[in-house]
Amino acid sequence: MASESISVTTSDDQTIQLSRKHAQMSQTINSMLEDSVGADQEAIPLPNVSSEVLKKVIDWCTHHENDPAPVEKVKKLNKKREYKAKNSTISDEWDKNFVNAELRVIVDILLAANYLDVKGLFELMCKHIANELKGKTPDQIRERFGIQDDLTEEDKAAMRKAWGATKNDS
Amino acid sequence: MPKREANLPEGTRLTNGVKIGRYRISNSRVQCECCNEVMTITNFSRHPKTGKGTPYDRVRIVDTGLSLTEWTNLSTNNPPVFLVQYSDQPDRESWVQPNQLLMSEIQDYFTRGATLVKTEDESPLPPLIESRDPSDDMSEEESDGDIDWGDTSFSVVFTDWTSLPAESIGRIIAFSGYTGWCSLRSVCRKWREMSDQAYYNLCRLMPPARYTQALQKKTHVTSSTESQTDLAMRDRDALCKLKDKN
Repeated sequence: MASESISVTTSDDQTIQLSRKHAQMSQTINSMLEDSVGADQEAIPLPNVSSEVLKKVIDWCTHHENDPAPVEKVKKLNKKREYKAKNSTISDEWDKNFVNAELRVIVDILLAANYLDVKGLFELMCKHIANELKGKTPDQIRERFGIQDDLTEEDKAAMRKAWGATKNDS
Repeated sequence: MPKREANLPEGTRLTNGVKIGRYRISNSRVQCECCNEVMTITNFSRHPKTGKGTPYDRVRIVDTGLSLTEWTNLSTNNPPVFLVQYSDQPDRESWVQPNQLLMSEIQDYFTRGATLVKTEDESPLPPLIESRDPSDDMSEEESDGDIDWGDTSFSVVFTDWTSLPAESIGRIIAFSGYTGWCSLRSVCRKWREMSDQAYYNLCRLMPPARYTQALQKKTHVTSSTESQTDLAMRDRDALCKLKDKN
């Protein structure tokens, strides 16, 4: 019988136990588990995820462990053919609190969710970042994310010509 | 998956002299926890009342919307960010405490270091942090072993904020719509490339009517007499042509 908990090793060499249910919310870990059926259960290495971030991911999985599986959601979405821009409102109060973190942490969780393939968490982080971007000029986005403007004047002129001016260009 | 953090081990010294690692701080000194190198922050004035060397008149306290741990941009072609991270994770209210003022000065140094990297042809700025031997120039009561380093420390890590996973850019555009795409692609070259690819993918996936409906958003972007729909349709066509050409 499969063990009820899974050991994973994080990028900072911490070994963390997580329940099989939570582990299976990650398609990446789930695939690893399926590939290693019958093999000795060694800790699964997660070289791209730190223990700090993994704990956040587990927190999120714990809160959402009874949510419908993402596959079911996709099927529903396809059936309705709802090809419209998604609503970025975060309605779950717990999620609102969860994303109320430093941008560094948000990006780390986003990267972890992408690597671990935890779809709901990935969506939440993207939604939050989209909300961060909304209504901001490119200048403000650069400032928020600490990104240098490496677009040349020629680039910007071409963009203005092709796409129309933005508030930022005025 | 793109890696956000470069594989720079502690102790790596970057071109601007800043070293990756963890540091402890005490008054005007910082000590690298990796090699115990002690550095002194110079050029800041004394507090008018206490006489302590806190950099009150040089500190930039700017509400950038960033927390202290989300830090600044050093640049070459691939803009990294140096993250100054406190071990005690202070909230924003602790900005003005002396230690944090000192940290701000250090952060300011990192920013100026970036300028040094960027403008090689210009005269370099005088260093705010002077590296020196731990045993050198210590006052009697401040021999290396006697310094009270306190419990505040910070780390310098190398971060590239532009390296959001490409998949996430597509999602973000899906959530933020047409104007999100416009803003995103105007931030930097890397995001422009990823945004255009994501936008193109959205174009392919969505039927035109749905697509234009999806991307209509009331936002700051528009300048011409064209409607959002017109712009979206034109952009979509332009992108598709571009892709076909390539």
